Amino acid sequence: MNSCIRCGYCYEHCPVFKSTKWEIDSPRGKLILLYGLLSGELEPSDYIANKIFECFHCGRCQKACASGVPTLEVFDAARADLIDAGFNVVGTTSQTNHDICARCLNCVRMCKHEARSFVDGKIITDRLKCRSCGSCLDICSEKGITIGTGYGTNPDELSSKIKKFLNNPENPDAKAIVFMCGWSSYPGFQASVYDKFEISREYEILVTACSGRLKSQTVLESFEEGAWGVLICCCPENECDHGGSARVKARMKYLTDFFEKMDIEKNRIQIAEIPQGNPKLFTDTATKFIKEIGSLGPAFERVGKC
Amino acid sequence: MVVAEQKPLKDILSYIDDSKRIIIAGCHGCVTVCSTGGQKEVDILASLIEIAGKKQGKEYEIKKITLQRQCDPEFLEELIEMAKDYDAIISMACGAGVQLVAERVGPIKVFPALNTTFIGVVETKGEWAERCQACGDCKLYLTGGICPVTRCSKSLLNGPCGGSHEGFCEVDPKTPCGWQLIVDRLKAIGCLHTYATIVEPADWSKSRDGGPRRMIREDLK
Ligand code: SF4
Ligand code: SF4
Ligand code: SF4
Ligand code: SF4
Repeated sequence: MNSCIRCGYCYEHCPVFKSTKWEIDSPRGKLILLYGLLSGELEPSDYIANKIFECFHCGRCQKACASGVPTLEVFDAARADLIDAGFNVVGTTSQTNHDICARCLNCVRMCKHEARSFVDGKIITDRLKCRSCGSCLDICSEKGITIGTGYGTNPDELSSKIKKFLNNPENPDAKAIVFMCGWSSYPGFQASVYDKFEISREYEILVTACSGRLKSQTVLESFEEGAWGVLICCCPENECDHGGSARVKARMKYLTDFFEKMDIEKNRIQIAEIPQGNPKLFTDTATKFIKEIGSLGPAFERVGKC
Repeated sequence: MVVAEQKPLKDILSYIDDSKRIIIAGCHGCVTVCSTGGQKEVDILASLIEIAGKKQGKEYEIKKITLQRQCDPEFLEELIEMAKDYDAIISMACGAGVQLVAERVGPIKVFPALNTTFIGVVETKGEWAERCQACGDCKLYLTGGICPVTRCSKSLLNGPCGGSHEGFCEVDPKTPCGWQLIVDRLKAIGCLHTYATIVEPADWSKSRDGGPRRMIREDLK
């Protein structure tokens, strides 16, 4: 921790910081908080504990660190201490609404990190094991699973961005939503976007953290709002730590099977595996996708669109 | 639990062809636990119907609700009240739930969204399998806890037929032979002698063949 030179290289890579632009949400901010706790200058509190638990475990801070601070290890150790000290934290971990949970155990079975278990009649999340991937959000038939703070990736946040983009009267070209995994495709894209690639007016890029966090309902909502197509960029299956890529493929197959029965072309929902650091593959894929759905036209004639 | 699967979307759409205002009603019971008729599935079906409608140039007005259980009359009250303003109800409960709704809701069309398939268990994540046919005269005490009525494709009660091959059933080579499972289990628990018990022909009147069944418990009245 002491080797952090406060350069701030980490924070521009952190999805949490990027969402709020507040120092306290950046990896450097977390390190400073921990430093304050250790030196006794700060009193530990639920607020600070939650801040330390607000992290998508993507590890991009550690990779970007100029000084080799093992941020992931530092944060994990701090989290364990905070739990031991009895702090009541949620952070970005997944939570269960016990009042409506049907105890079906589907979430327990599916979590790749074995973070969910059934204890004393309730589903509980081990907040140290939970990697905040959000893969469990879509599995719950009771809609009883939430992620405390989503930093732009929670279903309701995505829904409102979808509505805004597809119904913007100033952008008649809007026709598609591109969901990007915050681990693989988006970082590469981000690194390239400012100088080499002009963001298209035809699609909106929404970052989902892990692609497994994307709810089937959010994809359907995009179509209800008039999307011609949806492109989902995920990690190659063997590179996704959370099993999200395989899940999103299976979930989208479930939807495209319905689409076929409705005479809606199934290639309106496409999934592309984009490995880290390959922005060209993304731009090529997106261009091809937009061309394809452009030739298909709208999924249905919109009634009452001005 | 009761396990059900969603019907083909085309079928569901054909039921509501001449309806405009529709309620989609889920159930927090068995069909939530088998991920077929809970709140999430209600949302998805509603979106699919809406998209299919727009594709055909038709606007549906859809109301979503999920009831505690559709097989208990008290839990239906909210739905019955709401139904007055709608043309049809699509129930995402099992067949029992759909029927109780239809019985109680008055002169409104009620359609099933699911095919109720069996009483079963979770074998592994995402896989359910049949275990009980509700025969009304449980034989599990004799068969090591493995049901011959359900697990034997032919519901034989006194050992396998000649089609049991290397532990699998001739009806479907991927299905384990129920009687092989029973014999293996009886051996494992040291009860192979019960295999010699001749089971009398079953009284199928206790099963569906005796007409619809009821249970009456005076002590609960
Ligand atoms: S692991 Fe990712 S989300 Fe967590 S602090 Fe580092 S960059 Fe931010
Ligand atoms: S998936 Fe939902 S309903 Fe099922 S056990 Fe988990 S939280 Fe409860
Ligand atoms: S699936 Fe992901 S978000 Fe859900 S409990 Fe497991 S690690 Fe946490
Ligand atoms: S209506 Fe059917 S699915 Fe719902 S609780 Fe009753 S038996 Fe189970």
